[in-house]
Amino acid sequence: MEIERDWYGVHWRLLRSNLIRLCVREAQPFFDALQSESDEIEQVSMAFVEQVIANISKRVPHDQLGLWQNALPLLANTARFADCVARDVDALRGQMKRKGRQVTSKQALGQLLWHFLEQSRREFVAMEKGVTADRIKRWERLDRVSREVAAQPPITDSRCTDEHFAAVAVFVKTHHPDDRNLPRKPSTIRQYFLEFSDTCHELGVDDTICLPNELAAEAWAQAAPGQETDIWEALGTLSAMDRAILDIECDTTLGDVRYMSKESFMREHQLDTATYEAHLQDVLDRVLPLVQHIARGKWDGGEQ
Amino acid sequence: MSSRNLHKLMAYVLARQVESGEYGAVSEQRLREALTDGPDLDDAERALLLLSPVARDDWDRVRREVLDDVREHWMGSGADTELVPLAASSASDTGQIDVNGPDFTVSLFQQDHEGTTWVILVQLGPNLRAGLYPMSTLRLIDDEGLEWARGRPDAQGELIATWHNDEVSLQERAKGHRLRLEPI
Repeated sequence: MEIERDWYGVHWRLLRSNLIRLCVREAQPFFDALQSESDEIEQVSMAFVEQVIANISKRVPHDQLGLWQNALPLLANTARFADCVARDVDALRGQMKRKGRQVTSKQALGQLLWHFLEQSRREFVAMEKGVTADRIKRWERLDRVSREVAAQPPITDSRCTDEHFAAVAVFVKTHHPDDRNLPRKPSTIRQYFLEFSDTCHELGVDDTICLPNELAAEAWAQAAPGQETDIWEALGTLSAMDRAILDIECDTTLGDVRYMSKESFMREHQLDTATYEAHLQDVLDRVLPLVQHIARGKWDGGEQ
Repeated sequence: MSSRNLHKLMAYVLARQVESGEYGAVSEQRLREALTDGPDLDDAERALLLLSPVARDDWDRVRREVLDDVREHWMGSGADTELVPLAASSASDTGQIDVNGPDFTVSLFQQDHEGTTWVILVQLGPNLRAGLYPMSTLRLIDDEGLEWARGRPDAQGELIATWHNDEVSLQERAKGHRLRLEPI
């Protein structure tokens, strides 16, 4: 029994996170071009989208899941993407700080794409499902009511819960008893949220910057039998510097020397934070193919 | 490198992976079987969890459903998944410490004079056993989140693990901390 996937609904988070990761991975030429004052932002933005579309198009024939062909329509509005880039160009050039910390170009692109893709999805869903302007207007009113309810005690962390839908239904019935344009059943309210709301597709920590996630860690634990030794051996082929960095970040004890802290390592190797972070990202980028190579061998063996 | 540390590294590495789609998916039925009545995932299916973020998401979703089933069953039967700390005066002359509760017991068997190596035996009572699937995995943690044991109980409801740590005394910890069993 294969899983039926609703890529713009229930499985939207998966499609969005993979698309953002792909874009961020491909983005270095785009960032370089943005640094040049002489290049037109619109042209640079469109060239980037074309580059991503070309990458996705190569993936579509091999994709048994249907994920990538569903990604393509989301990138159709290149003019709007160029507008978003023009608005956020300082952040994309790495010239912005948020809460006192530098926002990297990759983080800025991840955030921009998140909003851009959410808007594209909503429009696409509206077109595909024949959603009327009235329905969108009704959602916008429902969203306002929901925010009003969420602001009242007990404050809720997420608006995408059955408890919140029930509370909104009660609020509509008591505060808008004669307004037939607002949905008043929790199940209908839930449907509106799944269809229109970003809240039900919260930004995962892995969507824009590649922080570790618990899901991957648990999957690793499940997949570990029979693969742990191979992966350990593959990691042993990394340079001493690479292994030391993995020691510091993940306490792997792979390296020959244990550094007391990241700061002491950086001092000894005369690295600034940006250089250290770039090296870390580079090491992790090189470890991923090693892991995939081992896993692919097991997968091929099982398929034969 | 301990598997826990490799676990952390893999979490960093796999979070960077982009789905290719070329390896397909493990069916929902197979995932559910592997998490309930078996058989376990084979090598190719395990490999797919490392190759595909979508496969990991499917696995996580089915896993959460199965865990909810177990928790609901335990709640419905009134099973107690916690053990209170041992009395502070408890001492062991035999090298064995038993922490008893209504629905499970934890026995610690000291393996060396220093008290750094222990065998941990968790014996489940009928209430807890009844809610489990043959493939269910449990872990025993204390109220500070330290994991004491993890594994799949056998048909008699026994889960056995070993402990080696010269920095943490299990004997002392058993006196100051509540223990809790949870499905994972």
